[in-house]
Amino acid sequence: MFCEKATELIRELHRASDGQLPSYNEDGIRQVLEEMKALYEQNQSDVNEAKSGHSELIPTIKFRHCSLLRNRRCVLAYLYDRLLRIRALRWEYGSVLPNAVRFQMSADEVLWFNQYKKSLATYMRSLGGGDGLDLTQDIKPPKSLYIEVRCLKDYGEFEIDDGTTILLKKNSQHFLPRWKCEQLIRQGILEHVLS
Amino acid sequence: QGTKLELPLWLAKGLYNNKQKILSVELPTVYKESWRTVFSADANVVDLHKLGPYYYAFGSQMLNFDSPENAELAQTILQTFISRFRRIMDSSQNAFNEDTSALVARLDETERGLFQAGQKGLNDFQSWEMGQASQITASSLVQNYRKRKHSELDA
Amino acid sequence: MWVKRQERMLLEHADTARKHTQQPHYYDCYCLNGIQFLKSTPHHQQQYGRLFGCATTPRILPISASYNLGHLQGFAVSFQAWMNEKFSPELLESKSEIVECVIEQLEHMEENLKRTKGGDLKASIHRMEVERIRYVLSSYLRSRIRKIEKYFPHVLEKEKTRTEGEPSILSPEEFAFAKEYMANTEAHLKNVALKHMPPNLQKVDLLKIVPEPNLDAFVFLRVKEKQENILVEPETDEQSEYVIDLDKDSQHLIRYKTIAPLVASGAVKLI
Repeated sequence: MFCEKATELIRELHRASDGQLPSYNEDGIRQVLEEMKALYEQNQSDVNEAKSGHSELIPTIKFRHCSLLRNRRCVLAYLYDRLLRIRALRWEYGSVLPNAVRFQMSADEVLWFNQYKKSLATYMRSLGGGDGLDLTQDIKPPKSLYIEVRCLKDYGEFEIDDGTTILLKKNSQHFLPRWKCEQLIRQGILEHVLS
Repeated sequence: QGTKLELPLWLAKGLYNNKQKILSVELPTVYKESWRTVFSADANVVDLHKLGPYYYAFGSQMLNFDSPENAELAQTILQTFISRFRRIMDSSQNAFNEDTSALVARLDETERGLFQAGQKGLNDFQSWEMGQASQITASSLVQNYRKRKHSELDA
Repeated sequence: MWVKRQERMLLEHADTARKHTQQPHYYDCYCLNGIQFLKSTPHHQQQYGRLFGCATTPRILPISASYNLGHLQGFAVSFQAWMNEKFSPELLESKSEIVECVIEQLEHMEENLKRTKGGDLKASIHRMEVERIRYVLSSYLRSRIRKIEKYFPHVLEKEKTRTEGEPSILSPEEFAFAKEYMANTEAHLKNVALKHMPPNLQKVDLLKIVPEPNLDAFVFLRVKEKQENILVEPETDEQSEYVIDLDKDSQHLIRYKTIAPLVASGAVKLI
């Protein structure tokens, strides 16, 4: 049966339905493209036959054409859904991705990601004078200026607003300006402690 | 001619054409009259997940083929949804911190989506009431990633 | 019904929450011309209170005398623009001037804050205000960017077919972003897959493969100006279409498509 490889690609993403990025299935894509090439070539020759009177070939041609369209649809859905997941990475992790996540992407996807990063940065810089406005911050409505945080891993020195630096050591607890540590909390380095 | 075979929906849809009759489509069993009677008797007792995890979506697709039963089929799908909806909604709004797996196991994928939306609403509301809504949390991707790493280490 | 119930519970709860967080007396003392703004939009107070858990709407407390009513109204309007954008399924008309006004205001306040000494009570109340306004602004722009990314071919198509004089749904910066996003995505699909496909299959119409916004989605709204004879489409084949009136201050749950023009004109607001 045709299109099985293509369906397998979709299943792969469906299994990782929590938004994780499975590694890029280059081989799968290649196999689908090869199947498409074969289908197309068979159809080309059958179309010529059909033109010269063999109209009984038409259903077969149609069948192959459906399979071609189906394959294309699955490949595009696979690629596009991955782009959406990669896009989410920019918002969740920030502009520098952990290596383990990066390695799941194909070279072309890295290219897309870098371009997306650039477009987004240009847009955010255009908001207001100066440095612009970082839209990946301020995810939740602020309740207080300072919050209590606990350090989940060794991070090193961290500069707070007035120029003083503090040392973020594993298990140490701090009282910090909210807007300074939001990103670190989202990255899982700090934990917001509710009093 | 006259051969009966099972085809995937996308293929049947592509080959189906009113003018050239390459194929005619027979409804899958769950959408046939005998099952329609079961649904109209009491849709709540049916395990929709077992019958077809995409009962509603797939059923709606079946309407693409000009079958004489279309009107009844559409009516059954709609009524089934209406009569099951109440229970799904009620339980999604009232089951807080309860084991709902037995109920969810019998739901179609569309219904599961609804149920989860309801549960999320309930949970968010509860956490807001307890003053936890303002807590900044690690992104879900980071959290899942950490979990995955842990389970890999354990294995 | 159940949604209404939940909505009521929420409102009631917001009330008790407000009682518990009564602001100290000095909070009002610094309030200058904000009063007028507060009176005109009682509902914003409620929403603002629900969101930030404090008693009232932003009473922007002047450090210098440079705040004027225009700024405050700007914030009220932007608050509404934010709610509408958050709850509508499609991208709404761009409100660039309001955004600019709020950004300007924010910068101004931050500038003032830099000049005050730390530890000042007034300054920290101000700082909080800056944080709140920035949150609303970011959240507003964020939900717009998200919709632009999600529906980019449709958004750009709408922009392309816009007649002269019709307001744009994109700010110039958003337009640039949308175009880049489209070009980037198209190039990726082409390079990785399409150009390796049979010649008759290399072209795809992104308008057809990227989902459209669901205008049939249901939204909650509150009526600001009484509306008569709103045509409602039938829900089932047996029903025929009918008209309804929307009374001022009444709340409804309705299909977005039916009232989209009223959201655009500001006659109703999404909640």
